[in-house]
Amino acid sequence: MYEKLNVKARSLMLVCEITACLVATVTIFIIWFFIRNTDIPFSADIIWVVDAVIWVLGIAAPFVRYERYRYRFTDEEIDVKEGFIFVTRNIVPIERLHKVAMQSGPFDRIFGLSKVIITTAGGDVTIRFIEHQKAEEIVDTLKTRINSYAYQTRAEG
Amino acid sequence: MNEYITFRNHPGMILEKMWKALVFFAVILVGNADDLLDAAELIRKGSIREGIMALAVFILLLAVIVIWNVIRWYKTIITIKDGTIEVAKKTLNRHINTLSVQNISNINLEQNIFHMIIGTCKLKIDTSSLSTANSTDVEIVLKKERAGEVKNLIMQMMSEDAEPNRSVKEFSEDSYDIKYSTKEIIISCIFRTNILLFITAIALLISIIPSIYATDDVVSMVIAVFMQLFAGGSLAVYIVKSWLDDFDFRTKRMDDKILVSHGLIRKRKFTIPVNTINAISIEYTMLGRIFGRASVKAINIGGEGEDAGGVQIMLAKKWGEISSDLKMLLPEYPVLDMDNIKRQPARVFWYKLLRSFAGLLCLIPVRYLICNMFSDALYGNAVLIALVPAYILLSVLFNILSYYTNGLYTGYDYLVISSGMLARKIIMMPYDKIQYITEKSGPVEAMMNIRHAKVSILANAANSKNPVKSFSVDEFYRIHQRLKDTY
Repeated sequence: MYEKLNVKARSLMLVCEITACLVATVTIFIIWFFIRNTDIPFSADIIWVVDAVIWVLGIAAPFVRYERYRYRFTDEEIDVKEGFIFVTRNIVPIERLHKVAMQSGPFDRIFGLSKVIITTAGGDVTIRFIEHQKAEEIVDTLKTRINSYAYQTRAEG
Repeated sequence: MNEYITFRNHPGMILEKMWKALVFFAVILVGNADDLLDAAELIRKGSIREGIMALAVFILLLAVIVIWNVIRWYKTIITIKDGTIEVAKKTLNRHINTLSVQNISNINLEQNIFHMIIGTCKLKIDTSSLSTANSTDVEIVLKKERAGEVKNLIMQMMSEDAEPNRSVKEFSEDSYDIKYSTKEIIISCIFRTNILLFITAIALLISIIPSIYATDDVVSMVIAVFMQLFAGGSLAVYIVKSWLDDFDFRTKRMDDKILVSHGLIRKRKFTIPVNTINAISIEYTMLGRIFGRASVKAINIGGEGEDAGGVQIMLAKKWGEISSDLKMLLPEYPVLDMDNIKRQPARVFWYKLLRSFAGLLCLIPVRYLICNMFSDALYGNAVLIALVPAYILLSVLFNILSYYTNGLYTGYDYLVISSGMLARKIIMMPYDKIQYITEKSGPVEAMMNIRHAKVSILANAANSKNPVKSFSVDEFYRIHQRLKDTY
């Protein structure tokens, strides 16, 4: 059964998107400031249309991403679905796990959320926006499973 | 097995490690040739002491280079014991690197011209670790016979690690299973060469002739010739080097290892434990595709440089010969029936073609800008008239080539992914070597019930993430089920 993110995750996504949109607006303002009086074949004001599109997508993205974000931990695998325009699904067999890590940035901590980074021999997969306590439980469970697989593998020689 | 050996690298390694520093030293000498001549003049006039004083800086620099390299050689001790290889460097920064033999992905004996002259061999040991490969890989330089003995000892330890009380079989140089005749090697070189690279090299070298007559200015002519010679020459050297590397190519399956030996100027002998092979790559160049000749690489972690994309285990041959050789070398991998590889659904072809045509919209701003630059719509329209048919033609051609190359086969034990355009690469990987899968679909793909993916395995960057092009969702469901069967 897939689990849904806590509603706090949507707020965090929104804060992150608004921050990114503000940075984009400042950048666009700087570009507009320098090109407004230059001899270009189109009006410099057209650049504000780009900014508007960025804001519309930025505001819509957290709601869509929140609704799409699903994760599932079974005895055998980790399955994470996420995305806004492109939907990504990561399937990681627990047997292949080498390392589990937990990470939280300043914004994550404000909302009491964390990231769980799972490492296999072929690379990393990150599960974002998990409640801190839930993330700790996931890490503990995965650690136990990694250890039991390691013992099993050694016993099988 | 309690054999315990401690040794140093062959002193020849000092020279090998020092040559770059000596080249640097030579550059400094050339740059200060005036001072050197002054010093020589002083010595000639009998002022030996003053002359030597003037040379002191150079002598000191040379002494530092030599002494540092001698100390580094002397203080590096290699110990092999109890299933581990320990390389202790007790120089200014003390560093002890311990490697377990069970983590070895390749053992490679290498001999370049310098090694051949002084009778040594380089023993390269690659570890099966993605994150620590560079820090744990070991290079040992020894007398040729000694290097062979150490390699055998490590192989014996690896065999014992897998199955205690088992010793490694005696192996003679003549007992390789698959040997390539000179004719086969030459044919393989032709079919393994990237034809576009070859044509570029030849074109660059031939274009030197018109460059000589193109200008009266000698300096411009010399610069142009030098640049073309450098570019064309580098490509030509790269191609010829790859040909020479294939010389005397031999392979053998011995117990749970594959042995590979090849090279003329640089002789290399690989030992690849089969359990470290995570996939095999069957590669067709454009010419190889036309004449049905493929070569095979074993993909594992640890190889560097030209081995980063996998270790060559078979030269270019016809598919029938490849299949029978593969049965002998890697019986763990079933013989691949090429007919089983499914092409992408037809709707993917049309979707990609439409996506390419959407790129035509990019030509509108190009036309607009050209019209503005020349203040004349005629130029813009002319460019558009020339570009649109070329773009459409190339899009259709590339999409057809991709459609006939991309493929997927979800066998019971192995996943087979075919990709490319002019050349073709077929990756065959057991499901239990797949580390994880990332599936992706955009809005249009979702509507068409298709998606694409990346399959991750333990390999170097070139082969770690293997893209599966757009296929029906059912295929990915099947891959997921097969993957589940392994755990």
